[in-house]
Amino acid sequence: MNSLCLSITNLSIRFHTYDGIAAVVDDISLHVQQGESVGLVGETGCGKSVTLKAVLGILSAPPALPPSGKIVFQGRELTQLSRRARRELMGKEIAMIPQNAMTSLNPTLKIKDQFADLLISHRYSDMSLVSYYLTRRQRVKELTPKVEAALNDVALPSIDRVMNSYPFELSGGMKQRVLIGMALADNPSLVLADEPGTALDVTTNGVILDLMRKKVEERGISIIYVTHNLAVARENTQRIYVMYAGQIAETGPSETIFAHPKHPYTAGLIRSLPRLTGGEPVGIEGSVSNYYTPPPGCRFWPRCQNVMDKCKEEKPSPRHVDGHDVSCHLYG
Amino acid sequence: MSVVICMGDADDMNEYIVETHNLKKYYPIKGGILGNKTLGYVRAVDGVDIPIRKNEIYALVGESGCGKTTFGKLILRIIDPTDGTILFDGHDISKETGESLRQLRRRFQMIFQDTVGSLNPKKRVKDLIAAPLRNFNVGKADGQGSRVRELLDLVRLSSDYLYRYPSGLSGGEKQRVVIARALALGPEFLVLDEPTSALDVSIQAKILGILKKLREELALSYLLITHDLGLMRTFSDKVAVLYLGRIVERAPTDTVIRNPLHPYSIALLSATPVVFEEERRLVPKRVLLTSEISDSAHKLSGCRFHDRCPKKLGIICAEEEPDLLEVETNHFVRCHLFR
Repeated sequence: MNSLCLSITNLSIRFHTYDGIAAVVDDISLHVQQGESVGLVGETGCGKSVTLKAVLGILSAPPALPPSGKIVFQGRELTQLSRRARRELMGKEIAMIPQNAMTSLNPTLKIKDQFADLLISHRYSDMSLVSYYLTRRQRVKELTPKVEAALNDVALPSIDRVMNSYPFELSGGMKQRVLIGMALADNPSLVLADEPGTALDVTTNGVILDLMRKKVEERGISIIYVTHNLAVARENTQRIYVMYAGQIAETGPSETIFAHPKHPYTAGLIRSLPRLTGGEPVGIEGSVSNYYTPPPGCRFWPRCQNVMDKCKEEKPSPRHVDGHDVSCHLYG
Repeated sequence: MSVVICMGDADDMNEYIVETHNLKKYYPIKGGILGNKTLGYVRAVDGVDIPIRKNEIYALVGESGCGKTTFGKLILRIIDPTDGTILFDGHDISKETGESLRQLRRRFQMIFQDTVGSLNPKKRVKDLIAAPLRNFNVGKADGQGSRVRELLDLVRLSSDYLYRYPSGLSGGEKQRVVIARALALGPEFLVLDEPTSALDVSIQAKILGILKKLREELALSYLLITHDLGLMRTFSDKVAVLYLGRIVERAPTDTVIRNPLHPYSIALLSATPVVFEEERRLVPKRVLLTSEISDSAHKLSGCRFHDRCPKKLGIICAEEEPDLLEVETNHFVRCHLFR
């Protein structure tokens, strides 16, 4: 059995807003084994990205209230660490691949320089601003082979040209590759990928995801893919968490979760998908309830076809059913 | 229902609602010191022939920058074509101007991808939907009110929504309002530009269901612009695959999915992520395209796909542009492999 890379227990994140307190993430638990790829899927606004940000410690507070619950990364309880200690982990041990390749690179710096800056910040994190500027040219020179190797690793053609380009000179796919290269450059043990490549064309995105999966497998990196695209999650992960309105509805192996969904929400989601084989997608009635006054009990009950009285009162706890963990009163 | 304007002949004379012949849109690239020299053209849409039958859903698929949206805007005369003809219900509308073009707009409408940008945030749903009615002086104020209610009913929104502002609507509700507004003047033809790409899948299915039902109830025809092959499969009858302003393949939807012939269509299908096993059987082995989409301004000779094509035959592909040929009944392909 693998060792545990990340475990989140009873994490709740609330936001203070003008309309009241929004309970955006409500008591979720999830874990990632070392070397495992895990998908976190759900629809817009279900708390996927917020969960990632909490892991990385980049939630802006305020408006976020301090999260409650535990986030344990390789034996270290992240919420107890000092800001500085958390900053140390960022990029080096927990890296993030942002969603938008177009806006995630600095438009005023050449790829070579911003990539080297990133590596410098990993290596000399307590350097003062003055000594940074004094030694920068030297360091960039030192780190250039490392940058080259990292870019080579993500199969970028004509690396010399890329290194000396500004982001606007690169295509979307190339920018996404640079970002993946940056995330993987210092061999992190956990990568958080927030909708990687959604902005790219399908043909390009397919190639990028293949590349990412290969790299992650090769190096035994754990990865959390956050995505709303069930097919992308199905093809790139071993296990999937389905999130609904800030709660985890169901988790199970990627091969079986969509073939044999247990939770009514997962089943509804699957019936909504347009398929290449044709057929009529069905959809789910209603829309996600707001987070200020979420329905008591299971948050899905107002849209659920199998709703029972119990669902409106009591929040279901996860139960183990046929290899899935399902939070639904239908099962017990 | 609103008044239907008849242009000349009776409606049932024509089998096709929209037909385009050699439709082109070139955007000049300006240069020189004063910006007055034309250095070349971006060939956004370059000789596209599409016949859309009445009551048909025709899909236009392709990647960003292939000219899908430009084509949609061209056939509705939102932008002017550089060359070619657009037959709307048998009449050439490519040269229409002024009031006659304005009157034509009652008969076709467009639904845009961006629901937020399509609705004025300062107006209530009631006024948003009544705007086209006021524009064309259809009915008195009270008659407009009942028409608005009727339209809301068509998209399955209750009349509680009449006095809401767009900010109080969810994404799916906004899209329903947009659809209701597009239907206000009783059009015959709608261009749906990525109508659901901003929506969640559970909502998307509902919106598609409404659009499909409306097609039957109101005898509408659609041009669906999308990059989602699953959506194309479940929603459309026929499809044209567009690559850099050119149609590379055109066939009934089922044929394109089961038997794609053009290397680009195959690459597109192979890159489609799927969830179910039975779908996986339809997806060819992933085709790796070496580079990304090239610049449509500079590629002038040969097949537009030749520099990325995994099945390139040789010099002929780079020098001679293949014709769109019917390789089997109703299945048109533009490729030297099928001559």
